[in-house]
Amino acid sequence: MKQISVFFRLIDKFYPPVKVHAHCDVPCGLYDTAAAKMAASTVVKMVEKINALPDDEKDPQKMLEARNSFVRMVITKEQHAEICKRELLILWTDFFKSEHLEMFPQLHETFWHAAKLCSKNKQNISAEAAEELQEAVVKIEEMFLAVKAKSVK
Amino acid sequence: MFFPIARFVVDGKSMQPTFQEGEHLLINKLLYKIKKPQKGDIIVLRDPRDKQRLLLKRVFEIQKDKLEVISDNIDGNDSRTFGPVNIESVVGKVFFRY
Repeated sequence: MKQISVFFRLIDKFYPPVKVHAHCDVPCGLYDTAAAKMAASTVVKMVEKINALPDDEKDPQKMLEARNSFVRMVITKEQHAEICKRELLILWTDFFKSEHLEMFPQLHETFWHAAKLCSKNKQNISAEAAEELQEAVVKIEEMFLAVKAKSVK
Repeated sequence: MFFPIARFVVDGKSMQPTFQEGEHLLINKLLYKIKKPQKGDIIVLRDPRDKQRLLLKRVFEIQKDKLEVISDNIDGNDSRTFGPVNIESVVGKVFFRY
């Protein structure tokens, strides 16, 4: 393996390799609802999986594994509810402008409600709250697409 | 002339902790001509927002003819930002680092 590394390093010296990008920065002006949608779907999935965990496991090892899964699923739910909230706030504060309030007079309330749902999903394990969040994100996506369609015309 | 192997150098931090900036990689360009990418594969693909740009990502979900790709660093840009990508945009699978 070491010889292979040395060989390719030598080639790289004379013929540098191509750059493959692994950047974190978001190109300015690009907005999408995909991230919020995926995060909300993950919250729904985690609630489903948590509810499906066994609660009457007799085998101590299996019980331990179930508890481990529970903790991991709660962490994932927490993280994705936070991602969802952050993505929604970006759309709310950066993408939507005051002129869009004419198109959607309920814009602020819709976002406020969705952001609150993100917090509710962190605090609770509730299939109802998770689905409400998913629906709220879909509603925001509809507004987002309507604004984009209008700006293309 | 088609070379089944290509060399790349990582630029950026979105695949940390798996890949560090400046790491050199080899990819297999032939593999996905005979089989579909698998969940968890580390791939090089064309950026759907700029086809000239190549990205390093992990396959997160496989749909019919699309892939959802994800960064290992939670703050990275991936399908959460730009949505699923076409399978045709995949250049190859990472199989060696040096």
